[in-house]
Amino acid sequence: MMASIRFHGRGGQGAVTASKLLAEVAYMSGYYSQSMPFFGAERRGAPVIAFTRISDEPLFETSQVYHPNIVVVLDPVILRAVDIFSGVKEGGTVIINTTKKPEDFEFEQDYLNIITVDATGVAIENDLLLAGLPVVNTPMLGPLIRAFELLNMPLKLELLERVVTRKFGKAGMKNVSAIKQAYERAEMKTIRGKRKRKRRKKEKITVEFPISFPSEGVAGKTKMWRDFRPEIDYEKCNDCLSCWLHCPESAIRVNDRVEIDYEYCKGCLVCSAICPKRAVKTGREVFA
Amino acid sequence: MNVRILTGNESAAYSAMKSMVRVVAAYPITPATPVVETVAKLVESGEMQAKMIRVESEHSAMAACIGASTAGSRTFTATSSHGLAYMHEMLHWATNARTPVVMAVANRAIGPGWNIWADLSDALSQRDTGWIQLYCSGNQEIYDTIAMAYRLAEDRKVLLPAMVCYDGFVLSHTAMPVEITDFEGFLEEYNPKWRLDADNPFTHGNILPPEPFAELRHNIQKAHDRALKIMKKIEDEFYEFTKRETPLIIEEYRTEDADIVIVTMGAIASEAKIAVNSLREKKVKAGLLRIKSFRPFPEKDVKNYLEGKRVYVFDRAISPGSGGQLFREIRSALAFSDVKSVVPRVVGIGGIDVTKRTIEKAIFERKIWIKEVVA
Amino acid sequence: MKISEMEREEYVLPGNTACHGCPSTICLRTVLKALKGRAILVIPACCTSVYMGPFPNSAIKVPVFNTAFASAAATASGIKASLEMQGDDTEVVVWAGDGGTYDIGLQALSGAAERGEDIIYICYNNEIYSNTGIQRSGATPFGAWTTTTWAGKTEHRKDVSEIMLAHGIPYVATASTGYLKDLYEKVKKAKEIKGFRYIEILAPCPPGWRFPMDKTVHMGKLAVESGMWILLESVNGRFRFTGVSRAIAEGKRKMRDLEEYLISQERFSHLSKKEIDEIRRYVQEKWSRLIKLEGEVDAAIAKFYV
Repeated sequence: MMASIRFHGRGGQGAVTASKLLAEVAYMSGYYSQSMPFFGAERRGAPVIAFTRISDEPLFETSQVYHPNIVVVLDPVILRAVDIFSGVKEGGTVIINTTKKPEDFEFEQDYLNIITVDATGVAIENDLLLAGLPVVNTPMLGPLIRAFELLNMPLKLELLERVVTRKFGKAGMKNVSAIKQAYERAEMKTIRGKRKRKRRKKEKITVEFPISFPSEGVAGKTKMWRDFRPEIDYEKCNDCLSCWLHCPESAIRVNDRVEIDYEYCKGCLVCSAICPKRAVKTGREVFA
Repeated sequence: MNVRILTGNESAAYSAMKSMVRVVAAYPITPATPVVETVAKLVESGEMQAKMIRVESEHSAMAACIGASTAGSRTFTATSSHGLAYMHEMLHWATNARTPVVMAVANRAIGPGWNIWADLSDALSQRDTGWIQLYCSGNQEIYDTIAMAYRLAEDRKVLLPAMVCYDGFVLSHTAMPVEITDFEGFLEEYNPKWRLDADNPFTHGNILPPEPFAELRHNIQKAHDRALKIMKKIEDEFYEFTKRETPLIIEEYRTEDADIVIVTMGAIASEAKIAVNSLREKKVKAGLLRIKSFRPFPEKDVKNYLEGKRVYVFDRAISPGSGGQLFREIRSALAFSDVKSVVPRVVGIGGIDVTKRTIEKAIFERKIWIKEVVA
Repeated sequence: MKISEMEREEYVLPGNTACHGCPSTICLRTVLKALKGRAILVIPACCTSVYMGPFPNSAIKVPVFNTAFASAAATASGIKASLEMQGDDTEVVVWAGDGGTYDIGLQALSGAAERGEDIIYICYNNEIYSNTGIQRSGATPFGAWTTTTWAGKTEHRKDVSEIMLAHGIPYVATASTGYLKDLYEKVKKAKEIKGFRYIEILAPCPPGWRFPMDKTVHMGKLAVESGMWILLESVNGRFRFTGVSRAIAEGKRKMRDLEEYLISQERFSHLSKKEIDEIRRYVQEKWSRLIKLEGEVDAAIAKFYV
């Protein structure tokens, strides 16, 4: 019996670490295991994936996972950019960090088990923060244990706690309590897929020369990367253009007044930090 | 007719001038230094209309050539041995960038211990870089091949860099009469398909994800395949233009009725012609197949000429752990043909002189063959 | 110069793959604006080769040639030679990180400077190999944590701008992400000069130096105000301090305490009092050396150093 797991996250959220921790727990539970990151060209904030394989027989696969039994989504924002249900086996399990309910999701498969949990909330409650951002990779391992129960490949929660404590030292306890809470709060339902199946055509690529042409959005709409949202208070703004000059993303446009291009703004908040009039207010970005 | 007594190195430099090279970036190294010196003299005297960059290393020499080529100029450089090894990274770069740089390589051993003499190891170590590799066996041929290499490299169906190799000292420092032909008409000013241009901005060589990268590499392989066909065309056109038969792919000498065929490259192939004649006098029907183009490797020609023959491959290089590089190539090319046998011989390493006696002796050493072929 | 007079056209396009608050994109935007987009960029392996995005698109709206790590200055020399032969006077600009400038690319840089190649070489110095994930470089300051100096770097950094001064090239300048107008002016000035021109920009890297992403510009200012980074300029051998550094050198402005700069970055959080004093000593020595070099300013060190 082999289970394969795909993690979706954004650069810096620890999808790779989660995949490794899971492989370690599986090994300690008596399985063969493997954790494999996929490295793209992107930086922090961009969508990333990682894979774990767990089996009761030795693993020889070195290729990526295309048909996972379980998918773990660390960040609800990912759903806007990536098809997280792609290739998931019939009857597989998809675990999503979200405040939504399992029945809110649509997919092409006939049946999937959807587990939802507000891991971000759990992280904040447990003071599991890094540079002000909630750490969701470890809490998401809690509901993952549930998915393995469904597969009849039980992994022990105690072992997970041991691995996490060993990895994070003092901060381990916070992680352990977050994992437990997420495990308890996870809501699971078997859902029937409603979306129509689409045929995907592969595009033919021709590359005679390694030449590329200038274009906006080489990394897509980078608003996806935004955790914080700057907002210009035009009452205070005196059109000094400092924010325009310092914007790392060229995402501030100068028309009749300075305007933030929210399609591309990554929310680094440099504009807010340098504004001499303190006219750029900041708040948490809420997409989902 | 403008004939001068030139060394191999001078032939290379003069050919670069007559091929309308506009940028040269080079660094001295024995035995290729005189190419660099001659070009510098020609540029300084105004005879050669080019800019010469006296770079601080071979790595930079190739980098500058690649840069100049992408900016739209015909470029040239020359090196040898350690210099070529130091360029290795940029050799790959030139191929994937699809820049038709042409380089003269005076083949020399790589140390330690310091050895400045002829050995094809330096260029053969670069066989997987994607460069076209042409091995010459005379100074007129060096002169001709450089111009032909530009035609080939810049052909829009090819667009690959090319190295024109010749044995260090054996050819690089030996003077022979060379006819200095003007190539105007055979070659035109370099007219690239694209060049770096502030009015049409594009980015060259940014991240290439796995699938497009594989596609680029596949296209480079296809360009090598096409190059073999285009070489034949260039040979013909060059003959039309100069009335000189300069081969690009292979040279065949008395193979038709031969029982034993010597296969080799570079200067040894020239010496082997005399060995062939001498062997024939001794009632051994010998022939010679000289591989001029090692990359792309002319597998079909090799098969055609060597089918049913006894083959002796002379390598002036060795890939330790595998043997002579040319031998391996020939044997794999003949894998499914009814060739009698292929025998390897590694000769002339580190500049050991290879004479016609060396070659003859090697053949007579195989007594079984001699018994078979001398009735 | 007012900000409103600066070039409005964007040459670094939004939606690239740079990290939040990236100093390199901030400065490259400014540099290309100062050049009004009339430049061919040569970029060796560095963060920029990644954040311009993957084939078939690019986030940079001027011609870019990506080259191998060690060979930026040499590639640029070749491009310039070719343009000269074709009568094209487009500026050729190298945009390289400190790894490609201080370490692996130093030989090519020195060679091109010595040959007097007519190019502008700009180093954005974030004091680490950030593209490979925060390893120490020749530009990493003493004491800084990196993933190859876990306990802090045990050597002081070298200074390529001083090495470039020794080459006797017509223009050497340093700039900082904290002062973009200054950078803009310096690039414009460099553009008017012929020959080899070198500009080095301090580029505080939020993930590499471990400080909040919105503080990039602030950190660029703090580095100068604390004397850790010195703004200078040398035009045809005439050396002078510029901006805040000039005010400090002339005694018109007090330096901010170095500790303020160090404690705001996690990479220095492990430093002991002794190590901080060692950095202080290094900074002090550097200032006295440069002040001697300037010659014109005769303020005693004690007067401005706090």
